[in-house]
Amino acid sequence: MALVLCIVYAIVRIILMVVSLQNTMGEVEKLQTAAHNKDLASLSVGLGKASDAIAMADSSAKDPLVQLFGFLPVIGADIHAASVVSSDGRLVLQAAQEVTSVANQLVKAGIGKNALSDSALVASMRDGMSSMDNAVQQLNVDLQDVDPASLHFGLNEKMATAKTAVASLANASARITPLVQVGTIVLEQPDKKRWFVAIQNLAELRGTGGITGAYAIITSNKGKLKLEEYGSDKKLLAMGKINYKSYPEELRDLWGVDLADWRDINASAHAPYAAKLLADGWQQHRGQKIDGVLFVGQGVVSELSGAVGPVTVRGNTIDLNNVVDFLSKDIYAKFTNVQAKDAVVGELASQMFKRLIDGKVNAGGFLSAASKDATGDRIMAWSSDKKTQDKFVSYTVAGIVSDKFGPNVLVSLNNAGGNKLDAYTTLKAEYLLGVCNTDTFTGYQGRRSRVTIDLTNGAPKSGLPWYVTPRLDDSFGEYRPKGSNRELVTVYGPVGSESEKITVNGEDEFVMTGMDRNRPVWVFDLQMLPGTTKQLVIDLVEPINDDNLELITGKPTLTGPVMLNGPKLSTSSTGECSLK
Amino acid sequence: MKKSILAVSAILALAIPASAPAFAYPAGSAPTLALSTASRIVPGNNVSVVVSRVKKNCSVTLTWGDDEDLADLTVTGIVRSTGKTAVLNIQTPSVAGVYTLTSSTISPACSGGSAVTLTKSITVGKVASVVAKLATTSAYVSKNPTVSVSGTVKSGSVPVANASIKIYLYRNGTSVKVLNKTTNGSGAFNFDFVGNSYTAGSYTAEVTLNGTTTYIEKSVTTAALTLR
Repeated sequence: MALVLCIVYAIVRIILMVVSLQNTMGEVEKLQTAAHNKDLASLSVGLGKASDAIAMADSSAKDPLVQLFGFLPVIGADIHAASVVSSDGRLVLQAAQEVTSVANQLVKAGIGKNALSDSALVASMRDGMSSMDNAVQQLNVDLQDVDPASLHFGLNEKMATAKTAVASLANASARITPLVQVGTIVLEQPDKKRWFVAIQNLAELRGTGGITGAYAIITSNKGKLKLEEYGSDKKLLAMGKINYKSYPEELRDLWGVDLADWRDINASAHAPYAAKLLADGWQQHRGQKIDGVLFVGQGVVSELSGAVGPVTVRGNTIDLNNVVDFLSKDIYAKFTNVQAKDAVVGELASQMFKRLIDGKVNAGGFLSAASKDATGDRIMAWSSDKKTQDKFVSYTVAGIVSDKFGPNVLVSLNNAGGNKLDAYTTLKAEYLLGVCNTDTFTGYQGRRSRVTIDLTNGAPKSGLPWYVTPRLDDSFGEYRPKGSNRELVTVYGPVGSESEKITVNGEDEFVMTGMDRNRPVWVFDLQMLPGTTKQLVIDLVEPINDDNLELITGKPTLTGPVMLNGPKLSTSSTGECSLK
Repeated sequence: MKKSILAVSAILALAIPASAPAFAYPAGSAPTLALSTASRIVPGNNVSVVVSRVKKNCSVTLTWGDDEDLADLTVTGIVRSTGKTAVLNIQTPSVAGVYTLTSSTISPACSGGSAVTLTKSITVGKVASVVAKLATTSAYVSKNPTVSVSGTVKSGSVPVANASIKIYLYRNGTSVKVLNKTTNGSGAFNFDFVGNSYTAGSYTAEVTLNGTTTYIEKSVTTAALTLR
């Protein structure tokens, strides 16, 4: 009898879960109307109702008896899927409600135009977005484990659709959230701050993203923003060289760069180095203190393009679907005169900025652009103020190369040809943690690991404009047809690791070596003919204990280059090692 | 809010492709000194080096810095039309340590820019970890305590057995005793500073693993011990 009651109870709970989920979906559908009308207040109320509905579903999903039914054949997969959607979806909706509510208050307060009366609101916005991003990413990961084909009752199609939508949302959230984090930190500064914005061109790669092709100086003052100055790199170069004594001496030769040259100062992937040089250079030549530096690339522009809608410049209509290609490829073909090209960019920038200031923005377009963004761009920020810098670090937007022990590998690219061919560069990388029971020469118990990188120069052999294809490096008699490039591929190994073997396309390779941020660095100098791929392999021995003889644990992480074509990255491990 | 954030981002990002000049100074233009691998080098073995991005027919000599004892360890190469020397094999010093591989000065005519001397710090041999601590039979000098130092020397999971170590005892930063000892078969050591009469102060010990043909010299200082 008790068993029957338990089964009946569980069935009732499952029905409640399903009904609650249906109610949630009903409320979510209503949200679209509010979103279309840009009615943040209604959106917040609607999210609250959806959140309440899904909370009931979550309560049922967490019931031990319901979870027990998840192990049943046939309907077990359905219950598991509903449980994932209920639990993770509740967190997403709750965070979204908070974000919408705060956004509504900030818009009413005229944020950006008026002085900020309550900086706590801005912080709430940032925290809300961060929470929502965490929830969305978790939902996306958990849904990957749900196989739509194993579901019944018509859930298979709905789940397949939901997985696609959530994956798209997760991509958008991962791109928008860092912008909000940096933007809110800039806005909440209690007094006047001057920010140097390094506008990177990802068609010519550098460690932090791309060559500093242009810059903007903006000031923030209690929430009010002002564009003080904008210029191309020509203006920076005209100022003269930078005194770079503050740069770590041991790094000066690693990439063979001229650190006094504004265009070459971001060879290291550690953004604070370049940020300090930019601030130093501005102080040296303009006598103004720079309080912070922001690094951005074309990926951010695509999001903004989505927000402001199509813009027409000299007969060219630029929208979220073509903006990245236009700015990294097409513009060089259509405007072969450099001054004309710069003018087009200036006109485009002014139109977009005016729309933003006038509030002519479309949040849906912003989200859509972010979800479609396939670049590997990411914003990085640095502040001379320690507390502000600590915030950038805590939100992982500081572009810090970690100097801590752990299975972390980072790959960066520097264009050594002096061209714009990185619009055609693609990269695939894999980091494998392998067998244990070996020691490093650096004095640690260790394990073997391998980093494999496939670098491709996808440039065509003909048809590209002259501006895109120059080779400014000395030729030394090399065969280098049009479309050929030269790349410096940098691999940052884990702290305490060492190389056992280094190859390119299976042949032993000579590489530049050094230390950056307490990490061993290997720099490959590669000639890349058009349409070719080279495979780089480094066999490593890396520590499994730190200097305190503590076991290093955790999954391997691989950070790819900031680049125009988003890198494809993967990691794997044979499992945890143990200390002897 | 979103408008404001967008506005910030717009200022940040809009002008990107006004960007790069037609002919940026490319990274990687300076002469370089590249190795087949800079890790896991056994003392006395060769390392393979290529000097690159130097003008044809220029001569480059590599040495281990100004160390007269290592003056015989040198190699010279002539740069080929590819801008690179052939693979240069230079013998590493026979005692483990951190050394600086140094090129002869590459003149402006050969570098294509300013005169440059290439250097590369290279670790030869293995690093050991030294763990040490101070202990005393009493914290009071009036009780005539015995102070001892103990610890282990290991390289990864391998004990460094029968290794020569030097131990300094410091009081308030001044050396008061020196011992030359060896580790046991398990890489451990445990010695009393006998024959000392102690005065009150802050004591530390510095334990140094002497450099060998395998292991690099390594020192560690213990936490302070206070005698009253």
